[in-house]
Amino acid sequence: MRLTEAEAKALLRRHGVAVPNSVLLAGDAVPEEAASWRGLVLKAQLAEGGRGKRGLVRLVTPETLMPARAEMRAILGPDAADTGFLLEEAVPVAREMFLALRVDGTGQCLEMLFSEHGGIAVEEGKPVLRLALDAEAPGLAERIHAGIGRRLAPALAARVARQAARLTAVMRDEDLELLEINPLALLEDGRLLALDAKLLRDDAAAPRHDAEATRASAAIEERSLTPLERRARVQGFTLVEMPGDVALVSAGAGLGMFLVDLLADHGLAAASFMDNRRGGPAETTEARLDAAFALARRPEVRAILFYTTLASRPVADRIETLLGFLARNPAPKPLYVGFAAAPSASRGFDAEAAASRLQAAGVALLHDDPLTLVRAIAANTGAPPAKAA
Amino acid sequence: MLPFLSAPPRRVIVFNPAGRYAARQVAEMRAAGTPIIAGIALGRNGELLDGVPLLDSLAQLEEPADAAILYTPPEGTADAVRQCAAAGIPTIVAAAEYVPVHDALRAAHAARAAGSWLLGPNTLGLCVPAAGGGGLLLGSVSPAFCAPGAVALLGRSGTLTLATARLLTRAGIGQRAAIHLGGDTVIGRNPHEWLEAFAGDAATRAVLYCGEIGGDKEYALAEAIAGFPKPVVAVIVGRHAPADRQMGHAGALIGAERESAARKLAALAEAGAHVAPTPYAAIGILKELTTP
Repeated sequence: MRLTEAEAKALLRRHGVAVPNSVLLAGDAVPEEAASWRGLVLKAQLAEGGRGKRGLVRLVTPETLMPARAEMRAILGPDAADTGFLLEEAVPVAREMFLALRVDGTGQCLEMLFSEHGGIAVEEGKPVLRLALDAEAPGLAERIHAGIGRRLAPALAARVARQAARLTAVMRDEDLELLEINPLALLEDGRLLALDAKLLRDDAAAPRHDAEATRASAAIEERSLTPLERRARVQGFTLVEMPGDVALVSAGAGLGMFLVDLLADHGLAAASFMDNRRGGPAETTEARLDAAFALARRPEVRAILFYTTLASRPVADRIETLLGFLARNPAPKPLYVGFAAAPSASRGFDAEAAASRLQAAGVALLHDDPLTLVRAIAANTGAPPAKAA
Repeated sequence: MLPFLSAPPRRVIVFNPAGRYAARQVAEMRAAGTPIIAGIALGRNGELLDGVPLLDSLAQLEEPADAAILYTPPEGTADAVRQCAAAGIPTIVAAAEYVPVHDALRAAHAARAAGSWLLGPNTLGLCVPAAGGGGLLLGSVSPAFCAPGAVALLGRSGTLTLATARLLTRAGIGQRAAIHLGGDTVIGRNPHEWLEAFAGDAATRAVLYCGEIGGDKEYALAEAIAGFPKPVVAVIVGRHAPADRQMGHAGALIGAERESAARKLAALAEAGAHVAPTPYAAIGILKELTTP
């Protein structure tokens, strides 16, 4: 989950990282604590970049604060009516730098990215220094200093190195996949300040952290989902809706993507991708079918493909689930079904009887080969000829 | 050489074998002949689970294990891997999905430092098929989907590894091993390390790699392919996945152009791999490559 700037900075502040004075704008007046600030910056709290270019980050005065917020709300539109606004103290900046840490999965380490030019200079492609860090090894700040020493004056390099070393601990303690500070500002009074922060928290570690501290970020993520995707989350599986003409029910990320590709190669397009979700129940077949049937009621969707691999779970159980669901919910579009079942999953299973029962329940085709199923859908829906297989 | 190929495990232990999913996999492994000598289940010392003795701790084993399969929940996986690494267990299979990435880093470091081969986290494990059922199953890559042969199948996704093994077998292409490396951002060993491990394996004639969108592991793989002495066929799924949407696996997200299937396939092709849009196409290539 990407944290909003306000929640990211609150997290950094908890770890002793200096950030500007700030307050979330609650009412229609300039907050009391902001009265003595040297200047004011208003920032819309979206979990995305490019806010400045969209007019969602502005220098304001006490007089222009509320009109600016109204203008930002107009830019955001009614769908983002609950967007929060962060009011920050504007600070005199002597120099802007760029500092980021990310988990390098292939290198199995943290990677530090640094540039002595921050802000939009980095977005414009100024060269960035990359350092692979072993965060557990002693002498981390010294090693970072050796890496950035040629780009900064020694004293500043030492301060940035110590800051970066401290941030590696923040990465680990807060289960972050990315921690990006841009700009990392050197102020005229000599302080180092994180003027903006982009933090991505590992969803797998969410149970370790206080959900209330990232409530706004979670709400933004939730808002980005379609109603069906939100419902799927509640039911314990992941649904990705896509513009397409075949509602796809599958289990397993790789198999799902393989089927999405196979459909596209045959002139079709998957309208959905499904996978398991952390904390979800062991069995979500009915919920997945329900979502697929909802998609299939749309005029542009022409077929439903249900395909799953069963290494040990009994295929007979899955068929009964499917038949029970179909008895209550006739398929709104032709339904194609396939199971890649190991013999242990098929033990005692009468494939012929199942095929005739499924046919009686309205299933257009039962086959264990995905390509055969996709070809049948393409043939029956008049899709353009196959590009690849 | 991979430890489970050079010396097939004879003393396999299973962490947390009693859960519903784990118990089913343990039964499958025993049916396949996996020599499971004990289960590690804290608080159940002295009990039997379908004939498998349960112990509180790894330290209670009278002789060291040579493979471990962990059905430990995600929050305990790193600790379990570190225990196994400290005990010098050469092959460790960590099944749990949703292991926090910083935990996976610690686990991978510990296993690597001990010289262990860690599969996963988030893996179905591996199968080394053999004629007459004398192969090796560590996890749940069903032997029924596999057949003995000379193609090393390496997959990032469990379901795709299973589906591809099954398609290969149906097409008459046997596998030296079918290995699900794990679908997470951090896994014990990266694809290029697996490739290098098969370089000296005389029983392997070709490698089929099934990758997916997201991350950059295929670029390291491409570098390794350049010096690999056998043909490599590569499939990357997610060619038609939308950008900026996570497609199930923690790492399966096209956050940058180089994480797309098209760019990865191009890099692999440039390195000398035979790239294929689907496993079906890969089978066609493998047939040509392996037919004398």
